[in-house]
Amino acid sequence: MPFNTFISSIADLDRCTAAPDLTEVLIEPMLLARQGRVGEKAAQELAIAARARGLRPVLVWDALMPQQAMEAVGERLRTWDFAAFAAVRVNDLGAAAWMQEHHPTLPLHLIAETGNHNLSALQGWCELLGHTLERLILSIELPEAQLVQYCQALPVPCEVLGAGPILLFYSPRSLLADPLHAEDEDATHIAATIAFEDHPDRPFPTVETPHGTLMFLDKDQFIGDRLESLWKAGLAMVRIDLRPFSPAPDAAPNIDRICQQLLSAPATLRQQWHRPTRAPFFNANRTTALIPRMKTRRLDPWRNQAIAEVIAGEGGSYVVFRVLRPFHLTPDTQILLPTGDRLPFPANCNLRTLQGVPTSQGEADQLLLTDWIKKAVTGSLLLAGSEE
Amino acid sequence: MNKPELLAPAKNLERLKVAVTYGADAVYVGGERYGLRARADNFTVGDLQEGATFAHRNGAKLYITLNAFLHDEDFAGFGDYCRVLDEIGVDAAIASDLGVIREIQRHSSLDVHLSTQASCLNAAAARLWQRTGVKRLIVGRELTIAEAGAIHRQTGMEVEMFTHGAMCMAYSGHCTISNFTAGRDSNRGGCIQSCRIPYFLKSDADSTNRAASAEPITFMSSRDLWGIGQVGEFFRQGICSLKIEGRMKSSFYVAIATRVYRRLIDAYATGQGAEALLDWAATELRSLPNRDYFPGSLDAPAGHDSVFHKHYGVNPGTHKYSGMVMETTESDVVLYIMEPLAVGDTLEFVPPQGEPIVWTVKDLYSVLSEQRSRFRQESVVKLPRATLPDQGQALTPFTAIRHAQAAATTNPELSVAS
Ligand code: SF4
Repeated sequence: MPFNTFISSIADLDRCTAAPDLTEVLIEPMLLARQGRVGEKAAQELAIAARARGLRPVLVWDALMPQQAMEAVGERLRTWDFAAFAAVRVNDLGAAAWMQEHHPTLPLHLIAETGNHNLSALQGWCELLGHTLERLILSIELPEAQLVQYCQALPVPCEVLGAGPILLFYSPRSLLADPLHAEDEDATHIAATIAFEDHPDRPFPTVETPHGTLMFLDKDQFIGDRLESLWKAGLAMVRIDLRPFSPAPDAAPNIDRICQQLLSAPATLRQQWHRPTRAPFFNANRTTALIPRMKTRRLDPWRNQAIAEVIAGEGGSYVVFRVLRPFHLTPDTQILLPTGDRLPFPANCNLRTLQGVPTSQGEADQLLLTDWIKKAVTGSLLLAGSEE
Repeated sequence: MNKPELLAPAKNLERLKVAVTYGADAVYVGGERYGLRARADNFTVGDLQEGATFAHRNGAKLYITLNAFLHDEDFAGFGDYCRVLDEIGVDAAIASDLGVIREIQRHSSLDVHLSTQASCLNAAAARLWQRTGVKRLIVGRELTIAEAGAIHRQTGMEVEMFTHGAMCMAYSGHCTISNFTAGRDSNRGGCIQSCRIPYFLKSDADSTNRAASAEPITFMSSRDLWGIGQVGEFFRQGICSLKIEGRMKSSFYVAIATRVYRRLIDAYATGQGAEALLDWAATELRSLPNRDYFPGSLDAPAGHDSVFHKHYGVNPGTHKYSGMVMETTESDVVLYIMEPLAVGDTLEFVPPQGEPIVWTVKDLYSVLSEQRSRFRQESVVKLPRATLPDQGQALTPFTAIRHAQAAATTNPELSVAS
């Protein structure tokens, strides 16, 4: 059951060496990684040290890169020795392209977490990045059944977050330094806790780094005790993320014990996890069904049949229709009321133009009048008859 | 000289016609499904048909947003929908999800514009997107115009930028606050604007709570973008299209924002210089509800002053939307009014071209030609041409009408350049 984790010190590496099934370490230089803590030289040294311990070092380049930053970073990376790294983990497609151009044999791991929720997209990445793509990192918004399907269907191995913080928000802007009056502090990481006004008891860890501001959920993802079907489906890697709550300079405290427990007593590990846990979408992602229902007003489903809409009127006197699309009035034209009830369009209601000219047809955007039609309030729709 | 297209938003057919009437070269709209603002009161297929006809008849283009990040089950009917869009003559689809892009290409010959939701931020990424067959990049709002220009030059691709409107504080597509706190997928149109609300904020570094906010503060809400001072730079950097945000916004917003940028673009293109119009443009745009405009990252990455600190809501703007000209006849101009209207009230017609016409109502008539002294809101009223300045010659259907609000609350310290 292969695990990987983020590391930022030799002590982390030593713990990783002792961690059962932990085969890979993720190294985050400040230059490239949005939560990176180590310098460029230290990152390369950690990679060499990891190799020496039989661990696979993966370079994390997960910061998004506006053009200028990309150019500057590209220049710096020309001086790097990538030989120690086994793969590079990218978020920005530009980073993938840069690696393919300058180090075409170095395998890529693509972070396909946010907004990569269909097979076609994931297959598209595989085709686009070709043989250098070694792994896709899948989204925790995908339910178990989907994860299983994708692990089986995709031509490259997949990884998923097994335990760790859920990133909610990634902005390039500095959002904490100013309100915390920390502009002058010589800190590359400003850590804070934020809470909704109406839920002050829910603390959301938030951090500002040189790459921007990141906000996390108040609970950690934890599926360490529910991995059976994913392993069977061929899941290649499970990530354990202990970074935000690690005392500097470490990133992986207790990783040896945690891996041990993941193998022997994962349910106990969940109960003992250092923060509350959840796996909100692992059973099902119901966000799909909710949205159309939330947004549909009562008359919306009929709008495609509507030829005019009541926009004004005066009780007992008149109704003003605005024509939505050209029509000829037919005997079975109906009025659909905002309540959902229908009325036949009265045969004697005297449809006419603003100049008072009787008509049985309308042009788009034209205003037409009728005598007062009881209940035909603003928002009612005129529905084309079947002969229309 | 490259003259950028002016691209305006439209929630419905009326707003599409407003946008085209006020000079948009292209309009982007959402269908009933598959878009980030997908909702059932968006454009139906019938609306799209009529919208395309209207736009094309007036020399404008119609783009459809298919920019949600879809799950497998969301694709039901998608291929058929793409074929219909093709038949209607929609000029391009705006998409962000590679799966969606592949399905569009499989089922139609629609051009694809890569949505800003995909956060394409550099030329290296652009080249990869180019290989997917994407024709145009709507680059991330985090880029300066110079950076976007570099992407255009290095790839030869069309590059579109936002010039106006509300901004996500996160990298577009990289905020899932709503997903995990409200069960609504922000990448499928469910954003609940969590960045706009106040939060309690406490530094982890300080056990004495030196920096804790006893009162909640709004620190994640972005000010609104305006690019009125950058029009020349858009030209110089070869940006192909200037986009106004706001598919959920009113006809009034569409009219005023389109009118302003139309005039600025035309002024620059004809060598009259857009700079002379800056104060005018700022005043016009401040007539709309806003969150203290700033130039975003157009000149340089947005800094600390890019946060809109107001708790809830926006600045109401100096003017209120009062209504719209619906029809004109030989004898009358017919209005739909959003607010109560009485003889003696002052209205301001804002025609697509020319100066606003400020006018005090003298005579009011119902659609039955009965003279009245007042009408309630949401009425249709007739104004005799004879009572209007210049017989109302400048007033055409879709002309917006506004009136000054008592107190403007825009932060007076914020200048055009800020
Ligand atoms: S909450 Fe704010 S930052 Fe997040 S998606 Fe919505 S508008 Fe964008």
